[in-house]
Amino acid sequence: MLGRKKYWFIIMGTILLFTLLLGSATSALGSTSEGGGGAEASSGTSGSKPLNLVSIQLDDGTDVQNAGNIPLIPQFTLEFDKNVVYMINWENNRSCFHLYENDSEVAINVTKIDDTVDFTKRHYIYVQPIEPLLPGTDYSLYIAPELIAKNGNSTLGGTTDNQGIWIKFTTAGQKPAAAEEPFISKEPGQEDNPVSTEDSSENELGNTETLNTAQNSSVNTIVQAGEPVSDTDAVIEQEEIPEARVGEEKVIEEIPAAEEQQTSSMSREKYLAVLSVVLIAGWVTVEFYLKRKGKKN
Amino acid sequence: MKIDKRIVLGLIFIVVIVGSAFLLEHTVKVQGSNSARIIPVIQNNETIAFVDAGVIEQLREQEHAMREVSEGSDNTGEVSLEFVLGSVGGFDYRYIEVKGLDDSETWRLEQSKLDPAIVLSSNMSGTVAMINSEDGRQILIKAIKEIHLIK
Repeated sequence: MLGRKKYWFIIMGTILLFTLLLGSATSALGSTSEGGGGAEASSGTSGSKPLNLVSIQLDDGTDVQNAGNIPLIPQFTLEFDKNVVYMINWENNRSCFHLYENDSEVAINVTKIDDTVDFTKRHYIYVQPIEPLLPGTDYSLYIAPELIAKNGNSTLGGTTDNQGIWIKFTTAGQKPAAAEEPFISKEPGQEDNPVSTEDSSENELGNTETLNTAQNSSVNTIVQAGEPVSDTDAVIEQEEIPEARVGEEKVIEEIPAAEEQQTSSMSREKYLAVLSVVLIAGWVTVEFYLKRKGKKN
Repeated sequence: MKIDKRIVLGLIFIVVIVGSAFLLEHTVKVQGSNSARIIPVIQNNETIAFVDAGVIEQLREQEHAMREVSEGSDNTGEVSLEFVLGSVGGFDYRYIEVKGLDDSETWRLEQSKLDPAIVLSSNMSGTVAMINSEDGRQILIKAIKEIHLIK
């Protein structure tokens, strides 16, 4: 009779332990997943939990940051440490992604898998250029600081000093020949100053069309309005860096810190799954142990 | 080695609980979908999101907040279908097909002709109606059952 009581005490104790562990794991892990980084996370806006970019990869797992052999039709998978696909914030978040080739913006599709369909994909955003990229060309993917997590407080600006993140990469292959050797011929009587950098310095990202039109009279290289501007126009575009790039170098350095955070912490689901398996295995072991002990007695 | 009966029962119990949770979720979705309280948005035969009257209400607030910032508008009407489709992540489609709870109610339009005047409004019954807010608030679909995005 006493043995049976002992049995029940052990079982009840195990269940209680399981509940306590599960509860503490949920609350502790909640702060690293949905809520945000906790003490180990990077600093964010005061009073709100930080949102970090964890990684940016291709389908095959290649890290995109500063990579040099990116396919011409890539699909980038960006992982963040919070829910960034929430329907209510999606229109805002979708507009936070921009791909640039030099200073001309390249059209992209920004997609997600909604958390109402697959909750496990809530940290991922997928970016794909609509048209194939140019071979051997440098590109920059910009994520604006307005990117916001489901909690409504955590923004990317909170962890990047409101600078956002620039991700640089180069596509595979050789640059088109026309782009490698800028050929600028002068018309007879033309002065040796085909392009005024002073004028171009006033232009921002969307003004390449105006620039190209202005050059067509004096430069033989024909650039269609709206087309990405190649290195041929380097003279035109030099120093024409958008303001947001000012903090570029600093921001890029912040990504490894976010990656470290990823490696140091598993997702909540993984933790809970492992914890559950360990507890079930422990319970089965205890049962066997007690049964053996009971037989010996 | 003889396995303890209680271990087997315990494991069965865990499997049943997990299975029941999935079954319950599936049942709620199916029942909600059948009664038009949960609206699946389907693209290329795959459900890309589920929306309900609560989400529509939140999207309405979000759209108006965004409009206030961008246009200075303080319109407090309903959320546009265009905004909802953008929010659920719909892209790269040509046609929108909205099906009503009544099978005879089907509305189809080209994406390029999508008008911000076509809005979604939650009903008292927890369903969502589609209305043309400019055409004398003409009800296009009384209770939306499904939204299809067709390429």
